[in-house]
Amino acid sequence: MRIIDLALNDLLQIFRDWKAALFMVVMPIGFTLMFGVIFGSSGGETDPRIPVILVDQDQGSLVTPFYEILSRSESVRPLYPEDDQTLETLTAQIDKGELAAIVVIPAGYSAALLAGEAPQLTVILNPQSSAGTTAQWAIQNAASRLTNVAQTAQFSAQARTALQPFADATAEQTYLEAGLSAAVTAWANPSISLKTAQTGQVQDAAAAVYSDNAFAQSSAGMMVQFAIAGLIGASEVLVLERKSGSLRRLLTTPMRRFEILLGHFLAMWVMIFMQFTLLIGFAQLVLDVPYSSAPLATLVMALATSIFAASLGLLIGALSKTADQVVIFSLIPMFILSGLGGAWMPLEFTSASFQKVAHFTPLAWAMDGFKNIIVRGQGLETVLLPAAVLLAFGALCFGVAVWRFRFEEA
Amino acid sequence: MKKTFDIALKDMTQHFRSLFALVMMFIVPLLLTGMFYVMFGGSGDEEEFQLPVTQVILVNQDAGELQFDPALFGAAPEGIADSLAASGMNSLGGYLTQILQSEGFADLMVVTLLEDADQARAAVDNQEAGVVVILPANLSAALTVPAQTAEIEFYQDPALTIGPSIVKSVVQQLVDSFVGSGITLQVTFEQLEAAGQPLDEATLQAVVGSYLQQVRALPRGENPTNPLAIQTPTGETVTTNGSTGIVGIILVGMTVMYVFFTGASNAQTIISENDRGTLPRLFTTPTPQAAILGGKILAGILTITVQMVVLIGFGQLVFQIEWGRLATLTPVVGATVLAAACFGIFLISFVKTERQAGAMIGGGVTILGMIGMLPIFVASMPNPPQFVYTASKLVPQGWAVQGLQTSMQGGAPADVLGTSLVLLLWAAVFFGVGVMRFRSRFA
Repeated sequence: MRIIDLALNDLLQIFRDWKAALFMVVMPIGFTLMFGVIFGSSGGETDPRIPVILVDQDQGSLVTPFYEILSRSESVRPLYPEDDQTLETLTAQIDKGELAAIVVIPAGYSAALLAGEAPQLTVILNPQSSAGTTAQWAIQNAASRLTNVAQTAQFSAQARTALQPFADATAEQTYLEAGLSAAVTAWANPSISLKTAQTGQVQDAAAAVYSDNAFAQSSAGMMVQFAIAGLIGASEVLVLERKSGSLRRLLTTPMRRFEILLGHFLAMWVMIFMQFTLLIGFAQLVLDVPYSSAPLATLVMALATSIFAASLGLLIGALSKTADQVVIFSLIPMFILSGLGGAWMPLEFTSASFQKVAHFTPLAWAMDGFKNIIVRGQGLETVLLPAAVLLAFGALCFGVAVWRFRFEEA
Repeated sequence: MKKTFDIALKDMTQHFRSLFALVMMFIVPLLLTGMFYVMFGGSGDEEEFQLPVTQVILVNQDAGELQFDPALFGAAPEGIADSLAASGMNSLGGYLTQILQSEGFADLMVVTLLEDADQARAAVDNQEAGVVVILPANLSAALTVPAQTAEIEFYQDPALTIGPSIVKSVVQQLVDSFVGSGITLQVTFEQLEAAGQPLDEATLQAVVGSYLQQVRALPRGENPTNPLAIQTPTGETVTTNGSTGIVGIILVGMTVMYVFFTGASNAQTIISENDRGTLPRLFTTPTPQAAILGGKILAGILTITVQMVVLIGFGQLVFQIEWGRLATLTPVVGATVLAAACFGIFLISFVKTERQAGAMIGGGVTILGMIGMLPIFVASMPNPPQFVYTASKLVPQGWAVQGLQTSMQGGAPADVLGTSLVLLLWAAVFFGVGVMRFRSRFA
């Protein structure tokens, strides 16, 4: 009972300050929305595929077929340049990361391909960006199909010539163009196609990074990040109580040291769990992030993550001697653990060594657990390991906090 | 004037003695930038971007039988076509399996074979693999039997994007090389039929024979499988300094974020001195209020200048970031320093206690900083929404980011003139409002 009284007193102090709500609710919701809108949008377009600009220097008969083939790609969509866009300005856009790729169809390309040569399309992209790499593969597939289209039309015309020569060049050209068109049509429904199925119920992964999935990433990411930011106020309470002598005075009461620490821990845990409840509720109801698809799993993850965060808060309170130090010890772990743990961007985009290091941090496990629910559509059994790891991190923080905790200023 | 300098010097000394200030000024921005440097495998030009290696499980259920000609392996890595044809493998599924397991694709995927499709899907569910590729029983038949179609199933982890997408592209390209032959013959036969040519057995054999002969004659060594010539934007058409990589952009964001933090943190001394009673005592001396406030602002300007110079220098020396021409960089840095210092005075003029100041600095600087850094957050997006750039301009941090980025991209002094003037305007507004509020408070 005394533990609960102490926790209630802490909570009263924390919630008296309206700025607690800023860190705990307003900022995470704001940033979830901001990142979600940014990464969920595609330049205001409804088509989430990566835009690729076609610069036609050829004006040949294969340009339109290439456009048509590329249009069928799941990952890129071709566009012709606007009037005010030159190759130079477009290239500058790629340099700035505003555009994924430009395909330059060089002069004489169609004629060369139809003549059985192997001309190349010039593709300008940043090979260090994931969008550039994705675009490269899609363009390469389309270019290979275009090569087949040209070879098909050319071969068909040759076969016809072998059996019955064309009356004139115009007839041959007409036959060739009909062959091109037939081959492009045939590629719309090839005899072997690829279909994508996925774990859970989430949409096509080709569009995942830039579509609704982004809310799932930003919701889980900002929630775990701001769980640590919210510790500033709670840990400050401990520092102020130590400075004012309140902690020392508590020792003169019948409460044991462990009970005092547990009371403060309980306050932090309740605060973070309330924060999680609000943020998960907001994400579910407003952003349609499917936390409710596995309610028990969500509860387990919220409990485990909040227990870890509360333990970290107790550790921050134990190690900090001043309010300044509370800010340092909260914000630095917040930034480092969030960046390392994949709260800002999926770890998939980082180097292999980075991904290995990331899982030595608790937030990577928190992200794994929440993403198993809201991205992969999985249930309780898949969050048990992440939850156990988080609890282990929590136990470690709690143990160090108990060991280092001082009830009075040194 | 001397008193102003004395106050500034004292504040700076306090600032540089504070571990908290030093950590927030230098350690945090450099640590975070370094973290991203490692995250992306280093940004140096000498280091290649490595695509993620995807764990692939292949389930080959193809029951068909085919007779392949090595010439049809257009998309297979060089040298593999002949060995495949010699291996006696006689189904498309078998050929695809061998090709995907070959050394040529080892950088992109690690392929494991399983017989049970459900077991394979379970492996993806358990995150033991990124993708399952299931080759259906009628895969080979789809190449030879008219109107027969087959679907290759990709079962993938939805949390992964780029790896599965690349595996899919590779499989697509391999399958296309076989399907393409079918399309060529199909279109040829359809056109001949439409032209009134009788398609008897002898004609069909002749056309197929002619096709295989032609395919074998295609150039195989030079570029049969790569119809693209890839250029980077820093190649022939654009002359940039090649240093606008992700780490450079991130250090710009970190620098801007934390110089504004320093501005606010520096101005916080007004509140802390007031709380401790040293400020009211200072007011009892003959030192004019303007000199006191001027000293505080000067301390901010000098501290932030040191911070920016150190961060920029460190970025250049350690991360090899080229910041652009000195004539371009200097006005941006100067205007940013003034805006950050005056922003601190403005922000702190709204708080009364040290505790309030902590939350105001933490919350205010983080929110405004992240809004200003929006163009950096979307730096890797191929088609970022335009409102991101508009929103970032609503805060001074956004203008500072733009100025530094322009300089990094090799901009001329004239290119940053407008940005610098806007930053100075922000500084003037912050200064005016902040000083007015402090004067009325301490009157």
